[in-house]
Amino acid sequence: MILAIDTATQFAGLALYNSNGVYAEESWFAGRNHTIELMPRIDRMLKLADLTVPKLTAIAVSLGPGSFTGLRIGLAAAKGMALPHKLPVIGVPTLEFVAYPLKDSKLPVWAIAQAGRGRILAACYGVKERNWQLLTEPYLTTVESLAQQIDTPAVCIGEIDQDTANLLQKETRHRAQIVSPAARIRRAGYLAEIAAERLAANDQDDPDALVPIYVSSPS
Amino acid sequence: MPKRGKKSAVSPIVAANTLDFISHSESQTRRLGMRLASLLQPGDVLALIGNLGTGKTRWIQGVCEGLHVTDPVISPTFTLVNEYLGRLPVYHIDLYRLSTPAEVLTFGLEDYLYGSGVSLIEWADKAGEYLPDSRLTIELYHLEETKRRVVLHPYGDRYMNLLTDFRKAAFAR
Repeated sequence: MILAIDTATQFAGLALYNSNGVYAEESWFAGRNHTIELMPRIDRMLKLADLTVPKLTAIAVSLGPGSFTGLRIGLAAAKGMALPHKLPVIGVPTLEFVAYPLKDSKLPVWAIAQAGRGRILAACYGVKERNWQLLTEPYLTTVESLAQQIDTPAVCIGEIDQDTANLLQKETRHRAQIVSPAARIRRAGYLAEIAAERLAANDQDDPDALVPIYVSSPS
Repeated sequence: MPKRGKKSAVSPIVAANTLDFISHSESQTRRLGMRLASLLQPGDVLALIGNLGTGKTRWIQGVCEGLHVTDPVISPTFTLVNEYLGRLPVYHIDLYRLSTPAEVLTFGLEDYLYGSGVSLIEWADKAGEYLPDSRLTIELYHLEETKRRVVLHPYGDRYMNLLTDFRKAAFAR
């Protein structure tokens, strides 16, 4: 069973994932309370599955970009649980698993996370040379600037509130399609799924070397 | 043109988009801070710039008092950030020890600046280009033992409005 931990932004997520797929999953609004809320929820999820940390096969963690404090909490929790039991740790860029549910889309996929005060983090994924891959590196921007960037039809997914969705559609003259509110949510289940694929390919990270991805720009 | 040297306690000089005046005492500085506090909203950033002993901490103590913070307000020179809870969350940040602006990325300054509280930054000039585009800058200059020149510069629409409201509240003009 893989435990997936995502504390990249104010919305946090946890999942347990085995060879059958998602076994348990939780997404919640943590605000700035990750330190208080994360460990009790991990504990509860493991108990529900009648598991303990040493019985896990790996820990997957959301690498960012996202909130500085949130990312450090997630990585510290993942490393702290993995190291004593020598569990593999797999770090996945946050916007990669945001975009992942739409990997069969024919249109480019813009994955979005909130960075506070109207700023957003955005990255574009899509099929190029028959491979699903990153097309535009994650960067810090605003909804208005992102709308200008979307000059061909595209799909948007991630932390998009209704005002943002309306603005994106208006500013892009509906070139931007936005998935439904429930489908926008960032899911730790997909984080776990990418980690499971990488684990199967024996593509693990060195826990000591794993660091958060920060995207910061001088304003 | 504004007239100087009148009997009022302070003499604001009204230039385009700035407020330039003299504070005659620490207690006056605190009162001005309290006035400003009543106008603050979540996400506001006050960037204080001035040498040692020019009253940065006094300003912040006044603002915190106005925001109903009851904890002691002391510059977090070694811890970089103090968090207080008043009418709004308050992030008291002191960048004195930074040697390069890029060091602000090593302690998560952005989580505070783009969070849901008010950020009060001492030695804000040390953050260089990492200060947000939109902010109120408060420059402090030592004139005499108890007199300080205070220059408020707004950057961005929010702070133009804030300064207009503060001018009315503090100087009734």
